[in-house]
Amino acid sequence: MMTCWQTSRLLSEALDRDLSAEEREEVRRHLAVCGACTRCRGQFEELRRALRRMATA
Amino acid sequence: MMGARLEPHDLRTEIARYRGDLLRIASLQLRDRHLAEDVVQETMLSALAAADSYAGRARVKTWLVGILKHKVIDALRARSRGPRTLTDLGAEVGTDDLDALFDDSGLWRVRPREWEDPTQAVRQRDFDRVLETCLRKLPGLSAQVFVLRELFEVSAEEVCGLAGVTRNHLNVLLYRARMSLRGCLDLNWVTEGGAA
Repeated sequence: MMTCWQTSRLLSEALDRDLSAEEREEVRRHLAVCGACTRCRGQFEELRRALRRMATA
Repeated sequence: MMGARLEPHDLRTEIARYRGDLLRIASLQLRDRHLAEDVVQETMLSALAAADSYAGRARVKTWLVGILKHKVIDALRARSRGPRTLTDLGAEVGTDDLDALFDDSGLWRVRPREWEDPTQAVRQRDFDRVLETCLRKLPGLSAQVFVLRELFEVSAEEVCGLAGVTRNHLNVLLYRARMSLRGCLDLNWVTEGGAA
């Protein structure tokens, strides 16, 4: 099982490249049991939405 | 303004109205106020020259940011000196401080907070204001690649070329930006519950 440290790095990379099937599965298994990393993923996505909002709103 | 057909005079007024927004965006990316002023000036001139061809299909701001993106990229190309050395990159591509956010077992030392959904207009403005302050505190190169990637939606490959960094370094810079910003918002964006 990946650690939160490893997972957070892959969550960031997932926004810039397609993860491999194996990486996606590792992330999925970790997020299924980790609320902190699930919140981290939501925050990374919120940052992306906010930056795109700056360009339009 | 979406969809509405604007008279040339109205479009000129609209373009002028967004000057401040364009300058903020250009400054966040370029981290150089004078260069940002120049780039925004060129953007406004290009927009005015192209006003006749503005078809009113996109919002005026979206159209202007599209022009600004190309001007920023031109400015970065003109300024680039080829690949950066590790000395140029300094501490920004090191990961010791980022690794220290986790304990020896790889668990979060401070767990991310639940963010209230910032879709309500007032909350969103508040979020965006704190985010901008946090962005200004980011180390320069991390902020530059993050804005290229997330605001201008430039592909990771193209960001590497423009910033003169390897893909591995880009991954660290973007990770640094995201982790720093989420930490900064966790601390400084006070949710309605009052907990900061």
